[in-house]
Amino acid sequence: MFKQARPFFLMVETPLHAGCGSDLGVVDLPIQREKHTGIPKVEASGLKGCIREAFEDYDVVPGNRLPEPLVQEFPGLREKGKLREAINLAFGPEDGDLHAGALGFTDARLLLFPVRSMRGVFGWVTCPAIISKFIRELKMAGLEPPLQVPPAGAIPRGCGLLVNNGHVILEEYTFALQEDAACTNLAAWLARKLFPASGYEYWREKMQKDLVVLADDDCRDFVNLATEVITRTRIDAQTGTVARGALFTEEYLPQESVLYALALAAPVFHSSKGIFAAGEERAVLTFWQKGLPEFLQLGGNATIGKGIVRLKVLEEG
Amino acid sequence: MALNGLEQGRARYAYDCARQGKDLPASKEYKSYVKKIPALIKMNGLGATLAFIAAKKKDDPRKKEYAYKVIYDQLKPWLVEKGLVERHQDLVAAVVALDSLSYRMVTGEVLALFKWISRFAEGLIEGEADE
Repeated sequence: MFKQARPFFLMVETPLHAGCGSDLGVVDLPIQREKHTGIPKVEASGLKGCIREAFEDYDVVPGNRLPEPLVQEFPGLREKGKLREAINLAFGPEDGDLHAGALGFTDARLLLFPVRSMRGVFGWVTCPAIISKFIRELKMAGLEPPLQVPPAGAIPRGCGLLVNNGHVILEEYTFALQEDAACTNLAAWLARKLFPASGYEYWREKMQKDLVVLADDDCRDFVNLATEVITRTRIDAQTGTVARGALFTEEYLPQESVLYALALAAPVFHSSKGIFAAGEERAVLTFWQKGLPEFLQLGGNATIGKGIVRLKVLEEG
Repeated sequence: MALNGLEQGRARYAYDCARQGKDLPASKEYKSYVKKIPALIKMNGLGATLAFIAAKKKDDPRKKEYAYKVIYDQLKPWLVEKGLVERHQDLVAAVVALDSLSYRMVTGEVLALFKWISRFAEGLIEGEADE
């Protein structure tokens, strides 16, 4: 059983297609969604695999050096073969089922969903159901976030999406919304936690004022109807025209979406603890956090630039 | 299990629609249009998509676009039966007059119906339209 958990955010920088096979539905290649809510998610197995790959790249990709903070924390990693061993202890061995990995992940769940807005270009949409679940999971991870769940129909103070007295137009729908203290607090907290201190001033300011808490059903409709659908086809090299029967549609989670997940750590399940001297869960989490790259490529269509996400571990306080 | 129980009879109705589509001279077009419509709705919204179908449909059964007319005529009775649209109203006019919440409900309903129709059309109708 896991002893420690650390929440982290995934900011979607380019459209993300975490696919779930093909479908005879609205789109040929839909994205993964929660069964009971229809809210988009990213399966933990895909997330774990991507993070593991990022660590393995330190070993195999020439010129991809270990991050300095990681080596300072675990000087033993400089020795040959130690990184491989640490990866196997943390993520589980590549072959055989000798022992389980000490690191685990939850599915990445949607927290904020960007929707086109008549004013302010776009706003981040969320709802009480999503926020309360988010706060519950933070508490599960042992944190005490200074947050309350805003009521449905709330915007932060100084919202930049208003078209006239208290109305916001998202896609083609009008919503009557009210400024709310809990929402103002939530938007400010998220803006602080999601963006690094420098270089993201525009985004910080935008998030502080352009967050919209809609009713659960309205939010659910947006995450179902307002995802990005891209039509693709193939050109026949012989004729230079569209090949027959090659037309298909793909669904993407739009860029600027924000997801979150928990990294979970258990004590090392192996008699040799490698660099995790005492084999404690704390060391495993530190290894993960210090070695985590800032950017990761998740989901499908990497070669057309999709699925780049920025990772940010939630710092306490 | 009776199809009536599946999604409140939606599957049953969709099956009948696809059967009707199969018997058209423009059956291939029917199949390709019903497969295309859900994506159109997702990209452009229901109102714009219905307006598009209404503009495209032709009354001559020998024309390809007759398939659009069949689709348009199949959609309304279902929405009337579901109590989402009035019987005497024009479909496009009725849909653009809906309030936000009902509009999204109707969108969901139409998407769900076309999911079934395109599944059945895929199974019942052979060949692909030349588009």
